[in-house]
Amino acid sequence: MNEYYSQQFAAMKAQLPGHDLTWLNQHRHTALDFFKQTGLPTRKDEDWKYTPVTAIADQQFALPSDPEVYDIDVAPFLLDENGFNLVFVDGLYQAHLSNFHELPAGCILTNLATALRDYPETVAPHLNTYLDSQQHGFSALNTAFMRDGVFLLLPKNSIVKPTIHAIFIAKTANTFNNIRNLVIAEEGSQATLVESFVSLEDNCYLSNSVTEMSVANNAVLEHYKLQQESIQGYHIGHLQCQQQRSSVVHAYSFSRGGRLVRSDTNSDLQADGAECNLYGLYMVKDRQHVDHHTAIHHLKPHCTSRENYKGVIADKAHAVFNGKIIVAQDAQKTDAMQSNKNLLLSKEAQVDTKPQLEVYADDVKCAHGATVGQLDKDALFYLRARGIDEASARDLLVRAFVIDVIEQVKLTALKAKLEQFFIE
Amino acid sequence: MLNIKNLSAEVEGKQILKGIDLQVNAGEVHAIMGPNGSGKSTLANVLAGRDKYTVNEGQVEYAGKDLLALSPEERAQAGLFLAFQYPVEIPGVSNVNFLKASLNAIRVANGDSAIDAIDFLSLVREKMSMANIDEDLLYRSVNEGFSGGEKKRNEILQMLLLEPRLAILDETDSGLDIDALKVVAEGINALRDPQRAIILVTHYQRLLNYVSPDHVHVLLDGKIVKSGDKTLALKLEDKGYSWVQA
Repeated sequence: MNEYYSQQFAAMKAQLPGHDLTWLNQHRHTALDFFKQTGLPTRKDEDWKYTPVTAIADQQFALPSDPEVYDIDVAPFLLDENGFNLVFVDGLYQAHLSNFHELPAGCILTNLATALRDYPETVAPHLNTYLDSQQHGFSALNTAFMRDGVFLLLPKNSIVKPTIHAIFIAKTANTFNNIRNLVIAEEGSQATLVESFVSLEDNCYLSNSVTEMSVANNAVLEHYKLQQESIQGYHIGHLQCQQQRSSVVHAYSFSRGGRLVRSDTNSDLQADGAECNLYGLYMVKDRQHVDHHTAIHHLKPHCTSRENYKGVIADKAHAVFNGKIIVAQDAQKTDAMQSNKNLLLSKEAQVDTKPQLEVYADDVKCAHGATVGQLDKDALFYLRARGIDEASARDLLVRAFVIDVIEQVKLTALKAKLEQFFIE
Repeated sequence: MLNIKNLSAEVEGKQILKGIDLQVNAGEVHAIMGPNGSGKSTLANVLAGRDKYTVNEGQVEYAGKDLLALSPEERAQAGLFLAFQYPVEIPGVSNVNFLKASLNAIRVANGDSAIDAIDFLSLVREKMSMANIDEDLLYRSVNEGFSGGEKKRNEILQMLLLEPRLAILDETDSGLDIDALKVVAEGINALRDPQRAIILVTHYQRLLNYVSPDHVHVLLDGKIVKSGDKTLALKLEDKGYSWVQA
């Protein structure tokens, strides 16, 4: 497999965006060298203990080469027609399907390939700066093969009100889509980015996505991920934030699709008073596997983090949650809370949940909790004794379990979609 | 309306009901009294279809149907209502949605159309004032954080809203102050009708000062050991259950 991707890289490196940029080629080569040595993670890696990726390693996914123009009706995937919509098919940008509105002065919103062509000096200090591309084989492959994604630069104090929606559509079977997004939020800026991962058919393919977000002093970013990959699709996603003084990030991860899904959300709170709020909801069935890993690094004093992840697991599905909170010695007055609750709907459903707290400071407030339970039999009987049939009663109770996460969503259009997505 | 013959039931291997015979006709109010552990609640729950009880003998005919063959929801849809001794808290389901879902499930099962939100709200407000329930309880999660009295009144509200043919109240009068007890009694009396029947499962005689039963039965160790008119309740109050046991 390592050999296969080396050959692919040699064959297509001249087509990759920014192939004429020395600094970028260095990133790509370093990442590829790392991958050649390590390959994809195995279950011997602690972070991949419950998520075997041998099925991915055994396949030779094709890297899309020539950009194609697709005629696709994107209406079903839109959230807000008055928002910005950037559409990608098999990881390749589709300008004719995308739409833009007026932006504040100095603000740049485009696809990454265009940004690398038109603003390479702006991109260079940030791209691959926040992600550790040697974290594992997937982040290395993403960096080596990064193809396209959203590029957003928010200059100081600029506020983009309409939602920025990146729609990643998987169309062709057996493709390997290395999506790379970069958000640079300068001081006091504010925006909302939604990433939707959808498919047109029940194909097998691999989405390997990385989003880096640099959040400067007092900036506020909302990030939503809606994972609705094909039931045969593989999805590896990573959101990496770096937060400065008094910055705020709200990051939501909603996961419903995919055959095997791994979704990481990490934030480094690098200066006083930063705040990070993570919300997650996963609902899986059949033999789906979904793994959420989060890591919040409290590096400086007076930072706050909140985390609420919930999961509903049916049939023979398997869910994994691993939430790390690391409080550095310097990070006094840290206020960190984490919760992961799981609802198992069948006897064969499985969940592995592991909160991990590493605290090196002495004056902190940290709490975490994880639960695994079944539907409350008494509540089920109560509803049925009031004439509500069993299936509807179960739906009501599942809805009751997930609703608090959905209620945290600030975008009205998204909230409505999530209600359909998770409840109906 | 309800005909129970030789009903026996067990829970977790323990025999609780040991051959109950009881006939309840439309228009009647029956009180079933008995000490703790006599099987009163088991009887109420078996009639409502709770699956943790296993019926090992007997038949129950309700409105011409084999009651024991019906699911809990089918029983409710056929007009049977159990007011729970311990109403269940359901976090995340608002009381108003629960009440509406319940009413509509029963209406639709009986060939009626579902009631719309506006008509529902005016109906539920009318019933709430009868049950003396504050409107803010509508928008809270079902029974969550309700006081004991609020939970019981919420059961009465459901009964008034669903207008059952057969209402079984499982110790709805327990743990209530006199004002709340009167509300419960008024709710029951409002429902009294020649077409309906009511079974009051109770530990105390007090409720029967406000709701006059047609028949009183004493349940002891899983059997009905004595039946009579309302004067039986007074005797029990006076002499205690040991009088019947003797």
